[in-house]
Amino acid sequence: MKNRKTTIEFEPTFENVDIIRSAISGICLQTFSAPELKPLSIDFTLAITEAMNNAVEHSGTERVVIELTVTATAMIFKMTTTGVEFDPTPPVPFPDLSSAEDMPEGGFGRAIMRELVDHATYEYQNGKNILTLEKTFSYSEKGAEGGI
Amino acid sequence: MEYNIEIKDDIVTVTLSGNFVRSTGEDLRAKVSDLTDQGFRYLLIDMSNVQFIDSYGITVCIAFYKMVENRGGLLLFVKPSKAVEKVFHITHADKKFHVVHSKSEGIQSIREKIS
Repeated sequence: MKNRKTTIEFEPTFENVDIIRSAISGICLQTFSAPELKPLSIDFTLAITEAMNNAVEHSGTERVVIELTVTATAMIFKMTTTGVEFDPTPPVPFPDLSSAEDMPEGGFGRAIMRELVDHATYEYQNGKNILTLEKTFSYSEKGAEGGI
Repeated sequence: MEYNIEIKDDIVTVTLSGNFVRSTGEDLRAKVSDLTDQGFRYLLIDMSNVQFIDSYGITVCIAFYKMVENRGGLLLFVKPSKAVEKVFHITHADKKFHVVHSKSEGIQSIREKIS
C-alpha cells in the first residue's frame, strides 16, 4: 500500500482546531473503517486534538503546520510550531480525582494525548517544535480500501 | 455544541449535542455557574448526543461536579455517548461521576435525595 500524506497549515485558534479536527476525524474514520478499528479513530482524533489545543494555548506560535501520513500499519501525525520550546511527550499521570474538594480542573490534555498514542517523539530544530504522534494498527481488507 | 437548559422545580436539566470542546464550552460553564450561584444544586446533564469531548469538556464537567457537591447537591450524567464514556474512563472520572440511563431515572434519583 502506498503511503498517503495530507498537510494543513492554520492560524492558532481554537476555532481552527475544531475545523482541522473535523478533517482529521474524517481521515481517521476512513483509515480505521474496519469495525474492529473504529475505536482507534476516536482515540487518535482525541490525541491530535489535545496536541493542537496545547500548541494553540501555550506555544505562542504564529502558524501551526500539521502533516498526517497513513501507511499500511500506522497513522502518523506531525505538528510543527514555532514559539516556546516545550516537550509534551514525557508521560504524565492523570490528575487525581479522589478528593471531591481538591479535584483539579485541568491537567488532562497531555495525559490523554500520551495515553492514546503508541509512540510520541519531540525535537526542537532551528526554532521549531516538532511533535510526532503515531498510532499503529493492523488493517483488515475492508479497512485497506479507504484512502485520503 | 448546542445546549438547552430547562429548569423544573429545583432541577436543572442541561441537554447537550455536538462537540463539547475548548471553543464551545465556556459559555455553558458560565451559565451553569450562574444557576448554582442562584442556589440551584441539582443538575442533570444529558450527554447522549455529545459526539466528541476533549480535556476541556472534562474540565467543565469536573467544575460542574464541584459546584453542586460543594452545595450539598447532586450531579447526574444521563446516558453518556461512547465518545464521552471513553474519556470518562481514561481520565478516571467515571469513578467519581454518577451516570443514569435516562432523564426520568435521574429525576427520580434526585427526588429521592431531596426527600
